[in-house]
Amino acid sequence: MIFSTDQTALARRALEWAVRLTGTDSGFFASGPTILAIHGMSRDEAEQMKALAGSGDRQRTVPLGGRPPRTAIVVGLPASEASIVLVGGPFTPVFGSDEQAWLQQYASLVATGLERVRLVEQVTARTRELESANRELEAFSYTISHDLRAPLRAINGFTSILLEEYAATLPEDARGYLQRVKDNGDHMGNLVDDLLAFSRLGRQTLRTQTVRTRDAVDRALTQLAPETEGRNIEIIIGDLPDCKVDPLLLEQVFINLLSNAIKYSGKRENARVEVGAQPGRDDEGPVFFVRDNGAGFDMAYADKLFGVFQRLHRSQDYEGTGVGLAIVHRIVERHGGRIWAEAKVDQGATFYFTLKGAEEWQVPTAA
Amino acid sequence: MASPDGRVDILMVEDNPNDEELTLHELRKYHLANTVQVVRDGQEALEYIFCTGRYADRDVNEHPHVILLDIKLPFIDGLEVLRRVKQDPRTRTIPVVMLTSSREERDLIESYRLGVNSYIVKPVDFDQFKESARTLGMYWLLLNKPPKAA
Repeated sequence: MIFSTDQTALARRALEWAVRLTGTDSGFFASGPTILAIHGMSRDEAEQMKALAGSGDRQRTVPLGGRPPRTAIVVGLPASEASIVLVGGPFTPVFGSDEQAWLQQYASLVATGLERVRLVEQVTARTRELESANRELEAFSYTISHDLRAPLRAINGFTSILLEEYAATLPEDARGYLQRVKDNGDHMGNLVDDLLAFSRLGRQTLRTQTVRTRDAVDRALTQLAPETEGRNIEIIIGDLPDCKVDPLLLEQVFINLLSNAIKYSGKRENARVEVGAQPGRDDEGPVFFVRDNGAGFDMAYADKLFGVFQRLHRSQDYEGTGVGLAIVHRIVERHGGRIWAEAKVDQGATFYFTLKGAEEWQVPTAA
Repeated sequence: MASPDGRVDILMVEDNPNDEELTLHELRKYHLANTVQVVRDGQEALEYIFCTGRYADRDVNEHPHVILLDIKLPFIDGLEVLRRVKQDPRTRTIPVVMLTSSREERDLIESYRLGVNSYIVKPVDFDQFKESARTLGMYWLLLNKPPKAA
């Protein structure tokens, strides 16, 4: 009974048991001003007697008079504003201290049940709120996806037509300005796409399986091949343990980290990028790392590293939208892992991450 | 823009005049835009395809080679237009290409469920956009042999 999930059902059952326990013949269950259950009397009668309820968590006996005389036993439920009022007819046995003790124990059981119901109701309400917030967010990113991209396409499209087909009739500085419009349009397009990718990450279900980490690194490097072309860059891949993760997301982690490593080591004569793994704490499995000897960053800003649209370099020096590491952070987090970095200005950066708990992690699905 | 004998190669269902102009611009460049019929919303698209309302005197067996269909349209959306085209035996064989801004997986899945022939996300990048417009026109008008209407 005390595991009931709804208040009214709990009140009804609690009242029935209390009536049996005390040998009374009627009663009601009130929570604050609300009568949740009635037994053996009319709602009017219960409403009239409601004043008896809700005064403290002690048990008391109230003579009601009448002929034959009737008696009410008011049982307050500890730590709540609810009480059970039991009304006995002429044959109600007189209560002894044993019966009173039982009734008191029973009252605290019911109170526990009531508290539980309240918590369940609270969780249900919160879940409903969360689900609706999620749906709103989804509608919002849908709108961004469609409505923000359309005007961008027009800006970029018509600027491109001007640049490609009317370039000959335009003065040089006009062409320069048009190029700036186009570059900014392209940049904004990337921002919108990255932001969408980021928001989609929170919603999509993890499809975990055992993955050869080395394969994920190799696929990431294949994708990044255009960025290393024509550069003197040494890429060292150490021994990498397998892991249980969503393979596409793991690949995304390596794409983003390696792409950063390649980008920020771009001004090095002999660029060096290293991927490896080392033993970690007992409870979180191996620590993977991606290291470069590039521009690094000031550790004073390390806390901003994984925020969306946060950049620690000027866009004149290194291009980017500031979403890549936020995506990596979210993926690692969703796999139950941690990510952190060590760096020094002009002496390279190392990003470490763990992927513990991938098996246990479950996405809450919206109903 | 239909040819003198009333034949239409491409039926373009697009409510955004910018996207329309950009697509036509590319199709024109490759001489693929001779007979493009543009309609602005899902309602008009259905009237055109099924020869009702404003297009009552058209012959329903006179199919466009391909329908380029935006998803987000006024009145009746692209998915509904797609559903009706693919449900009707008279129009089922017309190739339909979804051309949309939406990158949402659910739109893509729903489109394929309804029997779309191709699904293209309109790129923000104009070079990519040109490329899609061009290959699209080439593929569906020049290379693809549509089956004879049932």
